[in-house]
Amino acid sequence: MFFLSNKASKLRIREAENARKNRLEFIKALADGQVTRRELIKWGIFTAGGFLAWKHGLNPFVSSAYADSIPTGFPRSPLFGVQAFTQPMPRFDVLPRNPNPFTFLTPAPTKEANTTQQLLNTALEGVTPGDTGPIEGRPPGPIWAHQRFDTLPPQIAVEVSTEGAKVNTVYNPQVPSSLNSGIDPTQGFHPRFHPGLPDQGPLALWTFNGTLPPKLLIGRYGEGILFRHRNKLPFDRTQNGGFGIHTLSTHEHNGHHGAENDGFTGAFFFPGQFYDYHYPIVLAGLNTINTAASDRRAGSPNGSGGITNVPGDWRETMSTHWFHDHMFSFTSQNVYKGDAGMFNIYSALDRGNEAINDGVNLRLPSGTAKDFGNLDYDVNLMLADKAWDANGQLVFDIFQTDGFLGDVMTVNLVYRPFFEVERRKYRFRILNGAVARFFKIALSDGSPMSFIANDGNLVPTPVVLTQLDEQGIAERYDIVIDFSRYSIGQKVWMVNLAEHESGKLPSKDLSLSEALSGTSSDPCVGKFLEFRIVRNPAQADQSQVPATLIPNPDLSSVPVARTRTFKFGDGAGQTTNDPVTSFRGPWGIKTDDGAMLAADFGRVSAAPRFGTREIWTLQNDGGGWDHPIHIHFEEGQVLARDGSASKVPAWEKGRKDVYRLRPSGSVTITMQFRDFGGMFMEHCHNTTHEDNAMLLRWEIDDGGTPFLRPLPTPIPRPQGVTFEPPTEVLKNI
Amino acid sequence: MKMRRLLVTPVVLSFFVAVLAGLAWWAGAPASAATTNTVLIPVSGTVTGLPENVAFSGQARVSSDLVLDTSRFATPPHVLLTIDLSNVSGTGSSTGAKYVAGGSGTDVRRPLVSTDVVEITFPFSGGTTMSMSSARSGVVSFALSFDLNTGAITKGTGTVAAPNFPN
Repeated sequence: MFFLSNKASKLRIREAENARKNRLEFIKALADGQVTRRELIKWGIFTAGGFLAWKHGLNPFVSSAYADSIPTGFPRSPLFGVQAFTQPMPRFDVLPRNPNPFTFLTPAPTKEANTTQQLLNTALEGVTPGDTGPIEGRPPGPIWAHQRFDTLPPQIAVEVSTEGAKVNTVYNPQVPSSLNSGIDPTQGFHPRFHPGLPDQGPLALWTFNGTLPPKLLIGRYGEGILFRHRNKLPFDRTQNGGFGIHTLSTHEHNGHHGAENDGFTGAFFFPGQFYDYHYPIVLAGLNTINTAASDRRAGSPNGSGGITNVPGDWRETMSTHWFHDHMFSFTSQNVYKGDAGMFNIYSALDRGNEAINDGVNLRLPSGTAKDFGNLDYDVNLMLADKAWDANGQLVFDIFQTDGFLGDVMTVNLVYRPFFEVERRKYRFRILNGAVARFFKIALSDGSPMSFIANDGNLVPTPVVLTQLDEQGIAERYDIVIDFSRYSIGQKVWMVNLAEHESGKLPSKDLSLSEALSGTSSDPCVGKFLEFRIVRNPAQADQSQVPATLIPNPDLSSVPVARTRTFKFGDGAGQTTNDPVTSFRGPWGIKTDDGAMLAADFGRVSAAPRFGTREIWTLQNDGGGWDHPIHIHFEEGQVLARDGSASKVPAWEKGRKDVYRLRPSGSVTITMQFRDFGGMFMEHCHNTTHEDNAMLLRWEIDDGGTPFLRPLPTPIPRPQGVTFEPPTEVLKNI
Repeated sequence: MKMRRLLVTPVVLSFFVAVLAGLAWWAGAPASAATTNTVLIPVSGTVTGLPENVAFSGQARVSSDLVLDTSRFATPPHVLLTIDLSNVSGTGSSTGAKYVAGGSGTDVRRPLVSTDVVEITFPFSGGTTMSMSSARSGVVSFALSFDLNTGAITKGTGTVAAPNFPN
């Protein structure tokens, strides 16, 4: 049991509350700058065996200072009398798309970072009166200029902010209220997990545009997006509600873009600045495959029922992405605080229109009214566990380096909601948006589901399942549920079968009977989303789940230039001491049997050559934890698990970008490195592990202009980004 | 910041102790590699329901990977089970039609205990390949015995039934 039972004694709860307050004292001191994380680590606060842990209940590695195991130190989140399944689940809030970024945005976007100076707020760290700094936080100069900005200029502008919680008065789910469980978007959507729970304060919840529901970005191939992200968080870093940091770097997860748009962990920007991310949305291989754009399968909806051909490999078509903060050593806190959204990409194959029958469109459940991007029957789900204090405000424990777990399940950032459905097929794009929790999903009656996409990539062949595989953090599983099997008035629930006792890994996969029995000590096991079958479809269901979706790219004729091995484990050391780029933590990565190293975004650990293919083996160096490993920029095909091709399950036979290693397990993948260059990352997406410090930098440094090997490291400050040589370049990169 | 005043001195005083403890902790050996054991387990039983009852029989292929954690965490031993029902098939009670069981490769993580009942759901449909449009679901409950040293399954049976879960 990792949270105190509701039946725990008052003394036990009071002691736990005291322990939590003690930790918050540290957190506040950290936020106030009275002490640094580096100092805390040096002091041994993060390590086991310190006297303080036993005296004050601070150390998360000790089961408890007060007998029962409560690693997070939190009492149960109070529910204020709220019951599950008493509020509708909101659809995502679709971000406005504006044509012509060069006239819509002020100032107009530029290829290189806009270094126009502005007077800085003196509440920013290191700023003295009269200091000025650039209005854009992107590193300046040609290395961080938008690649292919001239040949693939953005055509759509999307302008967002990150800011403190406020009421949403412009909620746009892009579906009628009848398809959004009756929610009236004009009524103002409050920043709270349930109407019966308190509103989140502006320091507790930081989201895109400062509002709920979470945001959905809509894109299509061949139509580049200029994503202008404004940082409207408090200038004073201590104004964070106890956790989170006010600097941001936004990762478009699984984006095939230049590194300047990847949300590199060290390319963060400050309050008062913006950062222009350029998402060209191109098919991988556009320079070498289908360069004449003659294959209709490599295409994009043209707005009027047809296809606009684009260059590249149609087998590289992607569908379900997400975007989230990637601030160095603060990703878990900022994402937990709400800084995450989803991104649906539409194509000729997966166009979000189930009626167009052109021989290319797969006609997956979606709708028919619009040429592309119909959301009527295509639903984004963001799953995340949360915890809050006695006042109902979000809390987080930065001392929990195993993996922070919440005790309350949310879907689309509301507590255990219901969702009304018609008797027909629906597509659900399920994102694990947790910090450290794995999910394993089934329907409460054991009914079959079609698994159609893994990590946003349609699989070669759909897989019929009654329970999904464990879903690691950041993995996306797209499934189709056919509700026509139910009668009007029936209910069925999504159920989580993965039980945790800590954030290191799931402790047990429960059977449906066990999960539904209510006996698990894990509050996030069991039903978390109620489907209410409310009516027959207004129109006939024209959607399909074809027997063939998207086959894998054929790499058989592409030679393997290099193999690499990365081991993920604990006991990491640190060879560098840069105050900005390096971090110390228990977690680390060995590269090709080198030392287990903690993160330093100034260190170059690998540098695949532009235009090549490699095979990487990702190994879990221990049996006491699991790691969902994310590799940026390039997708991989899983060749083997534990060295065996036969151990790759059917649902992992497509393309992926997150690889669950399993305890003591390994995954062997192959990737190509094409189209763009720059510095990228590889890390555990248990973001607690990532932040403490299981992350490395790799780069393609011969794929852009200018060519530099290795690339200089950006060092952001409010006054401007400077560059320094890498702190370390591993041998034989 | 009151805690800081209270804690700095003890922290400094305990620093060297913490370092020593930390060295022992950080140097913890990684877990031993998983070892795989695979067995064939007889499976039988009937899924009742419309349009007809379906009697299943065959052999489930169940692989067990023992995972030991010798790190600082000392996570209790557990097994990763991979359950393959591709050699289990059904026959319709009224039509005599053949049914195929799907969900092959279902993974289940369980603590290692001497005996365990592992229950999974599985899809099935008529014909020789799984079809979503006609798919139904069943439950197979495995009664398994494990060798606590190796994680190998020493004995097991599988019983098929219709899903009947509490609402």
